Amino acid sequence: MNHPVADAAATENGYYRRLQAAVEELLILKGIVGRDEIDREVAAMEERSYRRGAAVVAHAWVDPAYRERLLADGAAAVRELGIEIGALHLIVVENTPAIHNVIVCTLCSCYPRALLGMPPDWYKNIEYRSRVVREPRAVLREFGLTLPEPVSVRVHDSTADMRYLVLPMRPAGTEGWSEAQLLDIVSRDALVGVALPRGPEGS
Amino acid sequence: MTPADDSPPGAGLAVAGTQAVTTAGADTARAPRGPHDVGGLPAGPVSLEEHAITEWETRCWAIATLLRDPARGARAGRPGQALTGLDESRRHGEELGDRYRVLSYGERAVHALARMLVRRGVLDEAEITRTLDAIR
Repeated sequence: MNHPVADAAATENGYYRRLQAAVEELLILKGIVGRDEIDREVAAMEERSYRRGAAVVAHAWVDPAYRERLLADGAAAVRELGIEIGALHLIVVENTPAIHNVIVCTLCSCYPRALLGMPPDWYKNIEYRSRVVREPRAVLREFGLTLPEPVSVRVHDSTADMRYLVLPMRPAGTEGWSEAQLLDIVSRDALVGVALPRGPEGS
Repeated sequence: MTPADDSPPGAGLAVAGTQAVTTAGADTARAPRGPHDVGGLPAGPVSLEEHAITEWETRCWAIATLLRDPARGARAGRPGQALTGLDESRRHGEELGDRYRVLSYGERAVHALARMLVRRGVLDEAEITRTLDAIR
């Protein structure tokens, strides 16, 4: 298992898929982990989605005191909503008319999974990780987001122990919207900072 | 934030006495970059194409997560010891050298999972190969 002849060919032959299956089979056989335990963990993982992060943002938009607590101590504020994020430090970075925030993990793909689920491919790929710290505006344009020049862009590089979440600006025209309505306009990409929440049509 | 660095990867930055691949640390600021250390390097356009995570990738992640609990070590004759670790997993990926870019994220993760278990003697190479060969 050290060096398959050629990795591309190994991938095509399902080498890594079979390696996973072999490891799983052996661990179950030895009683180190149960199939039911793996199934439950998989189900828990699939339950974690960016909707949790969106709920945090929507709540911060309607409750100014919560917004303050969220910015002061992200992990504690997220736990208030019943979201368990383990021992991680969570820093919530707020977009303002003058500052736009973007998240990356240049060294691997650290991502606030408890709030956003599994990271998308582009977040894990070399191109985003390499370039967004050097030319964030160009990268954001590739996502269809063009920021006016006076807006500063801050790029936050995550680590194994330190995760970030973007608190986007509440779009104009959403005054009087319910928390549930607001939750629906917060996309995964807005929480990473590569998009903005969609306001009402025409705004 | 990652400081800008105009040097190409590994260009003349070797520090006497260090290995080709070193971990980041206070005294290794000028060490060559590992294959994972890509912040600020030139690269092509970001592909926005997304594939749904495959079942085996999810199960690999689930297993690695479960085995990170030190309470589970006893089941492998290592009471109180985690059988996997996040930093250790990353390290196994980083040691892949040129293969780092060839393998996908999920492929690196399963490679690392197998390495961590072999290193602890929880599984051995021969039984993995035997079991793997029997799987289509």
